[in-house]
Amino acid sequence: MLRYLTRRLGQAVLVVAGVVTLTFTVMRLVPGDPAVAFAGPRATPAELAAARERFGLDDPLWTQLWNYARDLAGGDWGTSLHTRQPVARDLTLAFPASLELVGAALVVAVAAGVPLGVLAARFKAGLPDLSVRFTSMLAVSVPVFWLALVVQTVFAGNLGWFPVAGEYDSSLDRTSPLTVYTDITIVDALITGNWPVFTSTLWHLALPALVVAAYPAGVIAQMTRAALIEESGQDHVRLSRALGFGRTAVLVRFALRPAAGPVLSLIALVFAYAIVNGFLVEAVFNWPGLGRYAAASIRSLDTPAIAGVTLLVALLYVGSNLLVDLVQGVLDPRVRTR
Amino acid sequence: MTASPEPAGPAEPAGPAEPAGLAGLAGPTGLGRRPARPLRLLLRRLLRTARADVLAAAGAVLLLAIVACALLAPWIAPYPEDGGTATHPTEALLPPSADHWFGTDQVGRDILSRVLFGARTSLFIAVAVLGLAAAAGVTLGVVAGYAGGWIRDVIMRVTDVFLAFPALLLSLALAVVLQPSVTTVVVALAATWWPWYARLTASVAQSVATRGYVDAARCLGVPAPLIVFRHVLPNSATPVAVQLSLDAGGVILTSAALSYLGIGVHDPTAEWGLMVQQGQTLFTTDWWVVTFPGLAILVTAFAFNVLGEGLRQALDPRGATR
Amino acid sequence: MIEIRDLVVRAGGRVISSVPELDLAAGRCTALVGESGSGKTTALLATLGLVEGAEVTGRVTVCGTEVLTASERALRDLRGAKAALVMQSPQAALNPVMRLGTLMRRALARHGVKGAAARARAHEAVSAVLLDPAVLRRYPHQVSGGQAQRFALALALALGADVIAADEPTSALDVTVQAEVVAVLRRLRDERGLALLLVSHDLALVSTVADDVVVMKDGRVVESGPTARVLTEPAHPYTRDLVAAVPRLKEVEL
Repeated sequence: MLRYLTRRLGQAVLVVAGVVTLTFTVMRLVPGDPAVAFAGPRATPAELAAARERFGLDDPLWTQLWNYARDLAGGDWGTSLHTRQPVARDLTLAFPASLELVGAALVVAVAAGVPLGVLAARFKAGLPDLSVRFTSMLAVSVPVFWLALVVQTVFAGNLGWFPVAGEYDSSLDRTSPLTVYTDITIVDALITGNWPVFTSTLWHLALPALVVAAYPAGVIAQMTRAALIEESGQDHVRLSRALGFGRTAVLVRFALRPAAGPVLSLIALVFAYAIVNGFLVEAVFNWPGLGRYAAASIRSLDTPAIAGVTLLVALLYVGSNLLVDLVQGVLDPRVRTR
Repeated sequence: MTASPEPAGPAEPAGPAEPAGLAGLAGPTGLGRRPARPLRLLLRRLLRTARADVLAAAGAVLLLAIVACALLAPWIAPYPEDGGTATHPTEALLPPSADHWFGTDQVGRDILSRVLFGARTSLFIAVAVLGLAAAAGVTLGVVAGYAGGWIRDVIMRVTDVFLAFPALLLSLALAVVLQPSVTTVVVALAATWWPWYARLTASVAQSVATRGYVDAARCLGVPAPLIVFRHVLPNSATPVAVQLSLDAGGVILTSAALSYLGIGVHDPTAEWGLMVQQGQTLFTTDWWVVTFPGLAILVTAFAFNVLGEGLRQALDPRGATR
Repeated sequence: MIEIRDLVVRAGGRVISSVPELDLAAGRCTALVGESGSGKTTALLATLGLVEGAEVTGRVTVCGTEVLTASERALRDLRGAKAALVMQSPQAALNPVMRLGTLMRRALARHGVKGAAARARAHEAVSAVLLDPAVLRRYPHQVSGGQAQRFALALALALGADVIAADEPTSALDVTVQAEVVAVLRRLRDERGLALLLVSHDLALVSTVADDVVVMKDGRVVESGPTARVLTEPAHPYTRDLVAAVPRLKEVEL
């Protein structure tokens, strides 16, 4: 286990180093002088020189990369051009809302995808299987920004069942102000027992979370189905049938656990993807997350901010993959003893 | 899966299909000869799948129809000039009718015509992106798999790094850094899709390179490029084809998302994502402006996805026995 | 215990296995012998109603249950509790992420034995196959092939099965370990009166365990009868070939 752990961690560190280098390279590709971008077009040569000095732009590239990595590790992710605030601070403000949205979406996706996958595998090649495959294919093929618009217009606009946009009813800030611990509104509302804010957030969360959940739910259903069908061909599944268990019981109680590995890896893979998909949904539902920050950064060609968002998502991807591998180590005794 | 040990379970939907099994499709071969591909067997298997897999067959038919629309757009579109620069302000925002089946947009252009022309844009981007990605990925993959050793390790770690960036995000960043244009979108998307092909080909190449007939050819002094050309590439063709079909849906969705964000294609070029973006403020009053282009994206991505999934199951020997 | 009449299994219009007549009494062992693809495993699975994707006709009675016409419910009660399956590859047959004890507990609970009674039965059964009860806390990859195979037999014992259908129970094991499993099999038959339906191509095993032999080739029975007669005076040319192949193997092993 320890050797597996160290090897896995070593790989992750290597990938992180690569991610930082790639981000740095892409930022260096920016046409134009970052000093000009910071100091403004009417800056005097002295101001420009000061800016160059400040960002170390006269150093050799290797030194710049090293300094960049060192600053990142030290929490200095640069200064946003459009908010004029440290990027790291901007990100910590925007990220919790995105996490809230994607977290809720993944809960919905797993809750829908796994049972649907089991259903399809149980009635393989039958009508339930065909319906699940059809629906899950639709779910992974739908353009998320379009789905967001449709869902918003129909369920919030026309039918009025859900609020149109926002994270919670802002008038609640006066009547029942929220004490902030984690910055994730729904969690804070829950632990402080602030029910008005909690229900309002849940209400606002419903539509965007459902839209973000579509893609992960589709792939999770397909993966669960495939993994279960694969597992069903194994001798141990036949043995559990021979021990007197019915088909459904065999799938749920015997095949699901060993089939969980690929499904878990998939969830990690989909997590970072869902955050980026969430950007588009955040834009439609005016959700105060990373997506809004990224959109503003793109509009103002704010390179440090873009680099920050990109880096954060890539690190989340590497982190969630690492986490899943570790969780698998705990879940799967075959890995645990490696 | 950044750097997971060895893929243990069944192939994931987004990832490469089991290459070792697919490589097994090439029949037994003589010394140093090119593996004989049982083409007729392959065709028969495809036909059998089409009968058994209604979804995949539907996907193939849909896709053919979409390609036909793209190719024939100038001739079958009711108002071909609306695919380009024409505007008819007096006919703005007409609801669907016998004259305009999908209605008209805010400058009076026929939406059906623009949807048909949009198929050209989407398919062009998909072909360009996947062509570039596959060319780069397959080349690097062959090198990695055939050379092995540290070269393979380096290439594989680089793919890990690229895979850590979601396609849409890296494309966004690149599109900001480079000039926003169709070329940028194509390059950015290709930059995020090539690692899949590198991984896929590397594993096929590795399994082929250790086979008896390749060793034999090497001993006989057949030059390395020739071995690669004769053995590794043909064996990679099938899994790469399956992967291309599976990825096309994703590329179409991502490029539409980029256009929706206003990066890449610009008006008057007809592009579905851009059409959704331009119509979104009108959705509550003029539903057709957003609905039809969105459906076009959905149907096209769906066609590619079900076809790719069906192909994978048909060509994977394990899938065939299911 | 087992009574088979006119069993025919067809897949895609082709007969893949047919057994016109087979009777197996308590405390006896019948071996189905033949090369791979001869339909012997299919016949074995048919006794548990576990043949999939094929059409099964005829009459198969196991412990008084008509397998081919019985309800799924009745079949589930039959499987495990009355007729147990032992498979070729012992470790692949055990759920890789489940402790052996968990599998045993779930199987017992399925057939209505729970709590202290279940624990007692599990320990008794595991001891009866000469295993240390500590294996119940292990995962399949932590036990040897021989241990895993004996655990499979312990499962059958704990559930109180009267019939054991074993598919090549020793062929995946080392020669020395094979002897352990064979010894346990014989004890179960002699001391507990279990009926044993054995599938094997190992004539050495068959000659030491089986009372009767059914020789199969290409889905059909070519010869059957008491083991001693069939192996010493084979009537069918195919059986003669099979028997003739054995001494050569023995010489190699020596």
